[in-house]
Amino acid sequence: MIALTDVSKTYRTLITRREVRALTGLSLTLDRGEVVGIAGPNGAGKSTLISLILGFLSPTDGQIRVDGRAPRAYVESTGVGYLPELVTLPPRWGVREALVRRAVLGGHGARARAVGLEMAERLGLTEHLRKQVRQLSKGNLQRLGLAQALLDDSDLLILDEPTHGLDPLWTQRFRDLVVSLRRPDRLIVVASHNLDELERIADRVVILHLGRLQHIQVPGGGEASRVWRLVLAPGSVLAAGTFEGAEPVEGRAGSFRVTMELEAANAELATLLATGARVVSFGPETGGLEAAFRTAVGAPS
Amino acid sequence: MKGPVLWYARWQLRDHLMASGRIVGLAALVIGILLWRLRVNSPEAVQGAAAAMTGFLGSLSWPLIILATSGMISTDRVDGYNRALFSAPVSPMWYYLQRWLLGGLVVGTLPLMLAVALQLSLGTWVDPWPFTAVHVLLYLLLGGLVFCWSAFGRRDWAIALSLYLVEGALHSAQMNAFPLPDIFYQVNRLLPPFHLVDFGVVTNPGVVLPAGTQWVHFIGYGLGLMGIGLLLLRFRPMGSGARG
Repeated sequence: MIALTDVSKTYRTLITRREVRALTGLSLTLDRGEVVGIAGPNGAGKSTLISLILGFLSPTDGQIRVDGRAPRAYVESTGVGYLPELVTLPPRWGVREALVRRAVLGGHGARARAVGLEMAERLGLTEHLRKQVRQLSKGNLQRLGLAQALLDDSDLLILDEPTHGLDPLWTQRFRDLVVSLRRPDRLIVVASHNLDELERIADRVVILHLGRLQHIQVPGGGEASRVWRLVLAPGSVLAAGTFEGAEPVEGRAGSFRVTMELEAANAELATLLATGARVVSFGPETGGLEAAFRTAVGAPS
Repeated sequence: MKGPVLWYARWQLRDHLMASGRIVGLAALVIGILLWRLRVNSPEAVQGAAAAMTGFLGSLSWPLIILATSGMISTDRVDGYNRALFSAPVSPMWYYLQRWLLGGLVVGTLPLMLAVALQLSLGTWVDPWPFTAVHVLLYLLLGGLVFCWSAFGRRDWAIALSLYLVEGALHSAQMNAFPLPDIFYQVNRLLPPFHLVDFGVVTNPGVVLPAGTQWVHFIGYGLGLMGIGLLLLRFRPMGSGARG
């Protein structure tokens, strides 16, 4: 759906013409049906990349195509569900007004009000509908931005730091929301500093550093995972013949890292439970993205 | 103009009414009350209704136009409102053209509102339409200048105001044969021809409108400024930086 070919973006200061390279030689293809994470330290080029995909900026070199069209042409004909990193709306606008206005621009016409109210309910904003934007807390403002992004049911969703300012409850709800938003004809792009979040929701994570693509990590979560973490209750042990090859996790008694397919893992688990062992938890091993991130940006572990 | 933008006209009109519309209403109200007090104290003031219209419009027209159009595009860009607006299937060019046109509609009611205020306070009806013509033409040129600069960058109102004042001063100097170097008058010929429209002076009420080929110069200049602004919106990216 999105194809970037050797894309570079350089900013120049107005007076001195000093150059700041935000992106260099980025080639990348993002497909429908995917949830793609974009990670990187501050100044890595994440927001520039998003601005380029939306056509808010033009690349200095290279080409970007969204569904075969120039980004701006795509956005102006189809629309994109976009949550900016900083949700900025005129402070005097009401919450209801902000939703209805965006729904009108999204092409909902006479249904704009109903669509806006429906989304307000979905994002838990009903009780804030009469408030002005300036009266909203950071988290509620973020939810309003998210509601605006979801109004059009777009095929392309771009969410920049979506859980920024959200409380833990809404952070979890956001993850559930992303799962519910997945569909074969939709591409969801999530830029975040929160690697744990990306690891949970993304199919692929693009790691940028100093404006360059450093690494594309496929997180090990979900059914596609082959690396698992098994935690046994104190006093329980791995019976002989179960989870062969399990590696004890250093410093965590009763905790093991096992590598196998999901079906085999389930069978092993059933055998283990039959021996009387008590299992505290069994789930996908996390932390792979963090390690990949550290390697990609050259940070010490 | 595309459907969503047309649907959005209601909201843009509301924005204009809440801003410049309020000022138009307030100005007409205050002027009406002052003139009514004047009529009570000195009945001969009734004779000066047309002069009052000329005087008030000469003082209110251009500041109101600058106020109504200033930051029309640049504020959205600087404050980041453009990011939510133009992720929708909307062309910035049509969006801001419609906003500018609706601004003209609201601002254009000033002469009519003043005429109503004069009628209510002095009991004399002054035909507002010649004044409206001058006011709307000034909106095309001065409002078009602000629009053009607003599409380009910030400080649109300051640049437009400076050009408006410089053109007025140079034209006045030329009319009074003030001995300025010729280069000043050459430069003045390139500036927007604001002097071609005027509300007249209090001692000699009556509007000044372009004549003959001056119409082409005036309208062409105004439309040219709008055209440049629209082309900038069409081809210049809306963002000024990664987050802006």
